[in-house]
Amino acid sequence: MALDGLTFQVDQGETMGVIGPNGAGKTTLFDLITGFQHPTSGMVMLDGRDITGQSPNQIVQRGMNRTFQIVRPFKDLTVLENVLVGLIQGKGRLTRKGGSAELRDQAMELLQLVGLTRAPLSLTRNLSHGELKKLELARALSTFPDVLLVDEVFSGLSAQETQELSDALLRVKASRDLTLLMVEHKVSKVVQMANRMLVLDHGKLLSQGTPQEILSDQKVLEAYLGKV
Amino acid sequence: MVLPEIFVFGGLLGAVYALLSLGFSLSYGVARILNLAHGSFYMIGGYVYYVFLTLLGVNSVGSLLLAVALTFLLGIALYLGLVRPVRSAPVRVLLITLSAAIVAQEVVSLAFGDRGVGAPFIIGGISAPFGVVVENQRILAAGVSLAMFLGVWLLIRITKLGRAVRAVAQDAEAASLMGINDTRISLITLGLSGATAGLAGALLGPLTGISPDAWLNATVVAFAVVILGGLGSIPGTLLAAFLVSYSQVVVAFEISSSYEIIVPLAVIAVAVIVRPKGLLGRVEE
Amino acid sequence: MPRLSRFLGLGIVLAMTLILFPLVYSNDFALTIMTFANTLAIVAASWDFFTGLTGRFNFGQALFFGVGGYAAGFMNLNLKYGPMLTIPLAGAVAVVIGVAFGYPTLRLKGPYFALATLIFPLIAGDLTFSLSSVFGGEHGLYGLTSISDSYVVQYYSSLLLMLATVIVLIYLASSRLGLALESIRDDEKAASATGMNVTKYKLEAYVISAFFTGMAGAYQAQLFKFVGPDTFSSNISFEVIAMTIVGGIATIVGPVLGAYLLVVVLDGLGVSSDISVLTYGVLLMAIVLAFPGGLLGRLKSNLRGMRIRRLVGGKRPGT
Repeated sequence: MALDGLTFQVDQGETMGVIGPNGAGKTTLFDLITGFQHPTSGMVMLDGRDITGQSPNQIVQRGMNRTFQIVRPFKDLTVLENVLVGLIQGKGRLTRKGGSAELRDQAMELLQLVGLTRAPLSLTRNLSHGELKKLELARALSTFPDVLLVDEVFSGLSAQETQELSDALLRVKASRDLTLLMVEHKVSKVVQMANRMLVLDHGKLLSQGTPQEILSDQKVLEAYLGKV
Repeated sequence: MVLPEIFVFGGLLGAVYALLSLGFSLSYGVARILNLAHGSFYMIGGYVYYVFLTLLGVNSVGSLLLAVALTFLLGIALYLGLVRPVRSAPVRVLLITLSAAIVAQEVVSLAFGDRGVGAPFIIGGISAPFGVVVENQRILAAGVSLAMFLGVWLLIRITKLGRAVRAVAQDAEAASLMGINDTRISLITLGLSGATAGLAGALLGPLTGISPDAWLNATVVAFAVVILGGLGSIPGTLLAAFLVSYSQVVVAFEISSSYEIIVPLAVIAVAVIVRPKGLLGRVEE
Repeated sequence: MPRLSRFLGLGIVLAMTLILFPLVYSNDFALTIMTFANTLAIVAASWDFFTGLTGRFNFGQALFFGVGGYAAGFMNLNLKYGPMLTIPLAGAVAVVIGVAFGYPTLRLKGPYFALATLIFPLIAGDLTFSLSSVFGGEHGLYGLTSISDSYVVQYYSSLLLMLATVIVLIYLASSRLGLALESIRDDEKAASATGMNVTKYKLEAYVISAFFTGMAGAYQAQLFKFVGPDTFSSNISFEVIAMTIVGGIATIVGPVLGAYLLVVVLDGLGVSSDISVLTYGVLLMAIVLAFPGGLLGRLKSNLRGMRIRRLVGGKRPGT
């Protein structure tokens, strides 16, 4: 069993950080929330509605989206098209209102928001890792989610790229009024950005609370550093 | 009551199907190659046997061995010449094996016409196991096929080479880090693939006749058996081979031989839809 | 945008050439060959629309070709409908078959779907034998009404059907649907994370492909006044694959070029069918090894440009 006995709640507008050693089940948690895996028991609720067992695309239509730990751009499409795929959808049909001008503005706005305006017509294979991470974020936002889950979004980035991306994330959160869940290895980033945190270890919830509480929690220190 | 007939004919056919499909299972499980030209080895094996036996006057055992040797080499040649250059893109592998199958069919058709050939049996006469009258050739084909199948299976389970093969099947990258030359393993796998299919063709050919387009049916059977049995599972291949052969034989006897091809195909199509992992499936792509 | 007008310009020149063709080559043989090429071009272009855009390999396009042919034959003989009715209706029948077979199979992973597509036409072909009272068994259905006895009319009608098909398919490929399909091809998981029901769009593409191929099958049946079990033959399925790969996958017009190359050049030269099939087998091999994008592979970026222009308007984004 990958995850066991996890119960928690995220309030609207919150940023919830999820940390834990490798193999703790963080990505599995995201998969369960976003419908890529289904729980054997328990429920997932969004906005008071039970979304347990729904498929990923249904959940996206309900207003929740995510990025992937290993970036998955549409590799044979341009940056612009990557973002357009989400923008052209509405309620599961390719009819989201908007003429071509509106689509163009929405796409450029998104790219500006994440800081990826360099070359909208270049193929994704020509992007750097940092740019791909930004694209991943832009793509998740193209469905206008209310809740965004970001999975190890800073992994593999240099210090400068990390700063750019975290600025972008803060901009995004503010301008779209998002509720954010972050799985992250860089604990320092999480402490900076999160209102509250969850600590997972071996599939169980080890601790939850504000960053201050978590940092002074003996159990958490032991989980990360080993029993002293 | 035709139960004994069904039992005997289905079993004998199943053994040959198992050998035929083994190679397909190996090439997909080990080298991750969906070889659409797998049936071509079957077809060529049948023709090589025929050529050496009837046109070049070699004795039957010799012709059989030559068929196996040549299809082994052909498997290696296919891998080295056509598949390896496009290894990185599974779609191109699919297409190149398809084109190889088409080319092979046409070359054989140009050389021998498209009607098909029938070589003489290795052993003549008939026997009556369980009271069912059966050509000795059929029993021989099944026996040799089963023996070869088990032999290869044992090879994979027990020998050092076999362990290397299984390692590559599990995780090619990790295997090469452990010093296993995965090109060499792929080569051997493809060669074995060709040889086993060729043997099946040489054995069954005299009974059914072989024509240049026989590759398609043989590929479909192998493909279906392997998917039914579960990609990557050798015992699954064995089980599924009998399932396919029995369903064919049952239909031929009980309903009508004109439905002989459809019903098993339909059964397979339904099975694939209903239970895609197959009976004992293991490999995820 | 210079690239786009070059594309259109080229298209217009080609279309004019094809339209004026019979004025130059009015002999019956040439016209017959070209008519046949047009028919197969439709099948190849529709195959490309599905497999080129979704990336799912369909090894049994002949299923729809045969279904269309037999549907037309049946309607023509039993309901006395003429070709103007049977052809579109046959397309509709092919759509129904497409839904029936596509719905359970499109959600399967690659090799499983491929196997299913390989098998279905074989089953269908065998069914015509088993249900020989309805479908004529190995003799097929014959005595159908002809489209016309004039080779010129045949040529122009096939050309019309082909051009209409290509235009519609290009329109669809450069639409939102085309973008959605290509995203599915690139990464199904990520595509569903943009909110789309992936199976639904795959089915749409499959059914569109079925429609045009079904019409082509019906057209050929009315052309030859006959339809037989080998309209389900894997030869047809493999030929259109070869035509598309050689011409250029995911370009819609590449398959048309491939069809002309294979039919006009090979059949037109009067070589034996074995040699012509051998040649296209070798050609396919060579293209896969050396030019995987196909001869007109560059048109893919033109198609993309067209689509981007349609979706976001004329101005270059970012200006």
